[in-house]
Amino acid sequence: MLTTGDVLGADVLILDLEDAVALSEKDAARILVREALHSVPFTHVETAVRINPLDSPYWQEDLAEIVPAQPDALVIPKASVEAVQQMEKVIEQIEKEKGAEKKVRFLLLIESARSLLDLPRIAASSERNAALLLGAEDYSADMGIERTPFGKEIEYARFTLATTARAYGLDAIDTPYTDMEDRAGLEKDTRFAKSIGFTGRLCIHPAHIDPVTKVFNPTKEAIEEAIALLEAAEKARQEGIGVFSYKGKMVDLPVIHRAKSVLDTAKSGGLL
Amino acid sequence: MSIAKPAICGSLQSNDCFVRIYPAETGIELELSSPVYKQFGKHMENVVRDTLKQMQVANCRIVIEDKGALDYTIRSRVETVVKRAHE
Repeated sequence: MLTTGDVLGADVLILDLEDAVALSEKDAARILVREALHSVPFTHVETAVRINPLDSPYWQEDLAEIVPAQPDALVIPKASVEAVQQMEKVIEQIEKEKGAEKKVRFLLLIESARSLLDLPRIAASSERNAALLLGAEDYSADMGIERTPFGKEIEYARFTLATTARAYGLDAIDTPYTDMEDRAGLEKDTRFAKSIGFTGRLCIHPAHIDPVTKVFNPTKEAIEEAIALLEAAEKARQEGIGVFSYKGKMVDLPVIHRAKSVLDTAKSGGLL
Repeated sequence: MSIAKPAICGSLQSNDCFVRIYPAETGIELELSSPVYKQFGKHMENVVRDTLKQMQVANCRIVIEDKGALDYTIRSRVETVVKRAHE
């Protein structure tokens, strides 16, 4: 996966030092990830590393090895204001000592009831914050509830996270779909996530990347519609018209912003 | 860095290598087996020796079973096993 991660079609490749790594292999994993970041030419994907949480004995060593290797982002598990701020202090020191060319960004994994209730403060805790990620398995465990295929039990968390991310200008990344075989369920659930404001989704298997990307990428028709609408808007602007009619519907600023957002997404997905 | 005790690292999975290291007193004794030894054996040995040199390991016996590991994997496995043997 380290070697092939560049060509799987994902926007971001997350290399894991936390739950996927046995306690006896933490040292080997962080050295391997560090060397991979230095050696593998990741040109089609951004890189992130999920470090160990603040309440573990590993996070400082993780940062010491990984930050100098300059991944694009760190995934901070069990995110809290305290975790972000304590880790940022250590990271700033490392970046200063190593003369880092870029500041590593934070992807904040929300996986407890307390974190969910504290979400606005967490979202605003650092200028490095780039996204809120929902970890529904740990969140459900914290809540003492069972996960179901329908996901009703995590709806509050999903709505809250997507709304907060939007309010603070961050990406909202949904929890992974854990049924490896149910492709139809993955697509349906991902369409729901998109409909409530998520901008992406974690994938736990390469086979999930393509269906998830297809849901979040705008369709060819949507792109063409956005281009036509923006052309009409530009024409109206030149004629000094603020609100105008397009295909029988009134067009005002929110509609124009949505069309621009469609084109931005298309561009970032390589569709334009 | 001295090799104080035997240690192991890595695995026999594809694209990885399994590394064992032992204390020794007469320089670097390297044993490498690989399905691509004919093509890349000398290069892989150089990667191992360079890594040991960078870590200032002067004496050890190191045994590597390669399963198609790239250079960065070999480097990281050797570094880890040396650190484990030094602790």
